[in-house]
Amino acid sequence: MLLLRNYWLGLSAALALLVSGGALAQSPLFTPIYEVLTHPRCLNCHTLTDFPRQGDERRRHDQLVMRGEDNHGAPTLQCSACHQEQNVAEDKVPGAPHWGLAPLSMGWEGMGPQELCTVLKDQSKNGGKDLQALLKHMEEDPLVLWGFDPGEGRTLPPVDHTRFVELLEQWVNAGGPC
Amino acid sequence: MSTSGFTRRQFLRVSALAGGGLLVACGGGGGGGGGSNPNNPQPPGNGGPSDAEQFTVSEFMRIGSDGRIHILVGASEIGQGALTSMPMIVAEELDADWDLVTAEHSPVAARFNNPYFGGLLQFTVASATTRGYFDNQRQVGAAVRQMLVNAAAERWQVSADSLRTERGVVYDDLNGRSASYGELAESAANQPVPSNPPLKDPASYRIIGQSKQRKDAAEKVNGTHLYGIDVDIPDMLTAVIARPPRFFGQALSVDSNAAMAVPGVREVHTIPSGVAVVADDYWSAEKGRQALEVSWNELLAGRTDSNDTRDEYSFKLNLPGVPIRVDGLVPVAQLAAAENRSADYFFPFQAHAAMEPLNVTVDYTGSKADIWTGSQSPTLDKTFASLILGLLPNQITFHTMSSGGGFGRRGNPLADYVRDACHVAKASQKPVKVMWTREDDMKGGYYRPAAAVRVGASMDNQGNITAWTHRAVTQDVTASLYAEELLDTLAEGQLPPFKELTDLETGMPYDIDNVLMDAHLTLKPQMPSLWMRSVNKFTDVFAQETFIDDIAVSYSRDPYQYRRGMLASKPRLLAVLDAAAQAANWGSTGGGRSQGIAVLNHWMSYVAQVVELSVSDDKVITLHRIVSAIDVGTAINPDLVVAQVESAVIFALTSVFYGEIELQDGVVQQSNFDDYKMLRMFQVPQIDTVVLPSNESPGGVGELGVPALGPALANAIFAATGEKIRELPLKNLGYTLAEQHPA
Amino acid sequence: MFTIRVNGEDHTVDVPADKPLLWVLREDLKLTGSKYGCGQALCGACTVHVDDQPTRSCVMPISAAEGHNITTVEAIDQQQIGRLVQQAWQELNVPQCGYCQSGQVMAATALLTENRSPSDRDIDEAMSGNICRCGTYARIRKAIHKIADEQL
Repeated sequence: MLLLRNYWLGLSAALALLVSGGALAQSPLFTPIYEVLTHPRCLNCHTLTDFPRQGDERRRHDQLVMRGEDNHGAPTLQCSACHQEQNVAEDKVPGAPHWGLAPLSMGWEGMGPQELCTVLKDQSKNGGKDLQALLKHMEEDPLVLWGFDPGEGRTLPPVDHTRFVELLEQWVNAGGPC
Repeated sequence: MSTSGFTRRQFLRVSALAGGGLLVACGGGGGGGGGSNPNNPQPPGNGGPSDAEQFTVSEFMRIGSDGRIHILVGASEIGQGALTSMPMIVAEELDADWDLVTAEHSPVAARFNNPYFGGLLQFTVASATTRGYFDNQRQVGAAVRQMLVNAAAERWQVSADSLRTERGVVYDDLNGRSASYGELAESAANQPVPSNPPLKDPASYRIIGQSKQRKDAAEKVNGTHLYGIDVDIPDMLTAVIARPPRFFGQALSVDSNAAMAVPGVREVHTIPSGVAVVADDYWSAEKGRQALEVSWNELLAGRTDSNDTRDEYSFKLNLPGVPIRVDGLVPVAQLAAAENRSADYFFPFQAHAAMEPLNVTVDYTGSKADIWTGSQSPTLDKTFASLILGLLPNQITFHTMSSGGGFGRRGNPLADYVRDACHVAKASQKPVKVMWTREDDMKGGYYRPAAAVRVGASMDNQGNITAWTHRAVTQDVTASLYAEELLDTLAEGQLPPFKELTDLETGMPYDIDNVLMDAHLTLKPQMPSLWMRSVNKFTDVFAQETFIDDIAVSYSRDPYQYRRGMLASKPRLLAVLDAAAQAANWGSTGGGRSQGIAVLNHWMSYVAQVVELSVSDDKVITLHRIVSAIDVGTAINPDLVVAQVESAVIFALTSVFYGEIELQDGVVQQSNFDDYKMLRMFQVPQIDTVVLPSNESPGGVGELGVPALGPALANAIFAATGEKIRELPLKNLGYTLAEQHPA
Repeated sequence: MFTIRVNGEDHTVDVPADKPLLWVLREDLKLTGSKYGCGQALCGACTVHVDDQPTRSCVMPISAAEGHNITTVEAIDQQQIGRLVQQAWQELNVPQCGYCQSGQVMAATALLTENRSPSDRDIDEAMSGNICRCGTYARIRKAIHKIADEQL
């Protein structure tokens, strides 16, 4: 048992090295952005599956909640059946305007920084947004803003929204290097 | 079950009303408690709840001049169909027109007590409703039928023996005339009550044994059926109670300023169990509670910890307990055995989590009180209410409401939630509904207690079991009752047979000569526990039935055939075992599917269940089919019997996969359906139930399908993977449930 | 003051903006058919239709309910499919304790209105937000199929 645990520790350390090594090979401007975008507050609804996830453990959403054709749930179990325009029930039930999943093309699960960065900028996948539009989306979209103020009981992305926007601006001004 | 004599005092007093009719059935029926609709305080012909109570007191049934028959039922409707099956029994012997029969809960009164509990209580637990009331309900129906016949005989001046009854009509075939029950009701009321009316031969039943539609089905799909939570009386306030983080903590100091500042909040009262915030409505009360500041004295509070409990119980498994069944000479058999082996099991606390959170409405005026609540234990609830309110029982009208689920939680002999509400009402002196939120309900204790079980077996060379041992360590959910002096006020100074309700397994059914079963019943007065659907059968039968497979497989015996070989002396159990195996095509599954089987005989009923499943490498379980075969004796309403088994299967699956309340240093960790999960639609497999025909006395049904399901499932996992399941819930062992119909 | 349209009638209530629709229905409008089960949209007992979409009224602030058409179980028999659902539920003895059934009826009516021949998967996706502790799921599925097969 102990041996097995050591093995895993070693393996995950090696993996971490690989990943961070990989990240170092990326644009350092994108690295902190990547860490925000892959936080469960963002990633749980930027999935590559036909369902959203929930919680820091990123478990499949209870109630068999589905993506649906318009990314807002099954026809008669829409996201808005439960999610309001703001958190309710003492923050137990999260909510923000137009609560829903990001389109499949904007799913980021399992991506490394370079791939995510490329996908993020790909206007065929990101809803036709150029860098400025991306910046605006992440600066103003209420669903994005919710991710930085998700309410009691939820962990936060590694930086606050103000800092996130600063990081984005730097990245955008540099031409969005990946 | 002895058939006590049918006395006038106990069962009915039939009285005529001016204008004809053996009383007039009140409109609607079935919806409210005690004949009154609390949301409509002045129904036609009734002055209000208390007046209605007087109107119905000491009546067992009312027959209207229009032929409508309204039957009062002493058992509580908790979903099992008591308000349908009880009247079916009466209507059968009455030869009533079923379409004209309605029913509602009786008042809380001795003549409606369940004979199963010595006639001392109205108590809807232990699958004892049909078993307990069957004989008496038949006698009631038969007696009233005889009175109607006698009235007709008197009217026509013929012999009663020359008359017959059918569907609510008395016929005089010789003279070609007839009279409906409605026409005869008034004069029937003046007939003497026959003391020993003849009962039907079961072969001539035309209602019992038929699958009838539930009488409450229409109201339950259009929103008009009233539960306790729906009660609304004039000027009613709503209260929620802030409770200590650990059981039996006490409020030390209360700062109610912020709470009182919440609009709508009227009062804050400290009561023994916490601090009540009383407001105009629920939302204000809840916001007031959030604003309340209480510091708690937890010196005497419960500090139960799930991990410590497990350690303690595991240790106690090594110590001899109090013997509860001793057959033959186990030590001698163990010495002579070719092999002795044992296995230890552990089971966590579990919450009932009925869909309707607990709630009680009390209208207390100082000299009388009305109480409305969904209750499985109205007699004791009312007794405690009278003690707390300082009223005589006859000053209290207790309205038993339909329960939005019970599973034992609403049958607490300590009446915790009714006592709380009475304390609030006494402090407030205003009509008040005490509401529990889901979180209150989940954290409120009175759980199925944690348990450890060690089973042991001795085998000869061929793998035949020569000795069986079974040791249970659990909390005595009844012991604390005996410490409550208050219970001594119960009728005739006798305590009802609560001990039987602990229901430790002694019914190990197999033909084994040497059996030793013993138990440690620990006392944990600061850890409120209670019976939950199937009580200790859930844990004891799980251990027994999975261990049987453990042995069978290691001796290369088929688990079904292995059981068959040990049930020669139990023909009814053998019959359900065979029926389940046959219906499930035992042994002929392919495609990576595995089966598991388990049996149980209890509550005078018999069940065998087969679970068919497959398990993926990452422990995702796909349930393919669940088959139950049951023998419940006479099935009053077979479709509702099947519904109870289906219900039990789902209930057991939830318990087996998810059911776990964890305590850390006395604090309950779960709070709502996100961390105390329930099975949902997408996880439900095909469920088939075979009801074996029988004319035997009716057995219990409500719990029957629960205990064997878990071991049948675990045995199927064992067959599929070789993993022996020794603890629950399965989520802790890494198992998850697959979607039944993947996208 | 908020004015909401429930079962075709306007009602004006003087309640805090965050009071959930469920409690306005139950306490202020005395429509107790919609049930409280969890307060967190986890169980579905409080399901009503908001502009024909099943919605958990226990988490919808009254302020968000203004301007929408709300239908509760008390009026679902005004819709043909609602009536069929109620009838099938009775015929198949679906309800046990019945507490969750208002929500189940509302969810099933919306499903069958949207999809007249739902597959088992469709049923799972539409109905898995509604918990039934009595375990009537198999009968609910059967009743939905029965309506679709025989009446729609």
